[in-house]
Amino acid sequence: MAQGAKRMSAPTVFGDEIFTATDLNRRAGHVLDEATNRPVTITRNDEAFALLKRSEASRMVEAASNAKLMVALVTAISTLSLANAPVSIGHTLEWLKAFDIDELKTLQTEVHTAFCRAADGEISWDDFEAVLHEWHESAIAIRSDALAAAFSARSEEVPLTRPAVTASDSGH
Amino acid sequence: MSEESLAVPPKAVRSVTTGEQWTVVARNERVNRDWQDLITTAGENAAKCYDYLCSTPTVPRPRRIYPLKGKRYAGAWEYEITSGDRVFYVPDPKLKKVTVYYAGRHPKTAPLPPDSVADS
Repeated sequence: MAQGAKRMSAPTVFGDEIFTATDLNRRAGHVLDEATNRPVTITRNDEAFALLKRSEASRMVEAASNAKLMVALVTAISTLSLANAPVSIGHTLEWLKAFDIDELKTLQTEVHTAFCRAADGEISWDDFEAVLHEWHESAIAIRSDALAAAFSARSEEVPLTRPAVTASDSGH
Repeated sequence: MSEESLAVPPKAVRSVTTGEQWTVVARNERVNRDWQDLITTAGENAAKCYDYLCSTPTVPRPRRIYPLKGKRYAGAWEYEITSGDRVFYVPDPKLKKVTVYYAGRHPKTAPLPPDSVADS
């Protein structure tokens, strides 16, 4: 986690180029050009404002939100694996209980790796969330009686019906 | 719930498509009927799914098509047909064969009893 947190602090908001509100009025193009490259600070009297690309602001919010999620995940896994204490039914990560200790270790490694890569900009935050989503869906599958019945049903294989109109026919 | 091991679920591996088609079967007639219902309710998506299973069933797509995590269903894959419909299948790269075990509504889990009840 320390590595990920360190990486996340790289795009700084405060250690940047500083312009006054007058600069913004007189040289808006130049200030915005600077803001395109990195966050800049606009000062007016005793106040300071950060000016940055909307996409960068969005990314920072996502990073903070997912960092919170990552901490919650690690805490829940620690609770389950170390203290062996139950995660309450209402907990959003209660589904972790579908996995045993070894699986939880794998989950933690995969999710943390994805988190660090997303924080570094190697992958998108959507990709990070996809990893978590796939573990969640797997937990649902593991707990499903319907799926257990389907996988243990007697094998009497039949060809899967080909849809009348295939995706390639419809141009997809 | 009876505990039976899965029917030889081979560890799925990422494969590069060779253009060769995979054989796609349903585990049994009931699964195929459920699949036919999906064709009726989500025709275009079911068609895409069918094409995918025939061509690149071991190529993951984040959030949509992926191997299940954990030991229990190791080797099985999930295909999210729609937000509420799922297909679960096991690809056998050696035989170039896909077996569909489940097609239908998302198998949402039943709520569990509180820990205090389960522990008592």
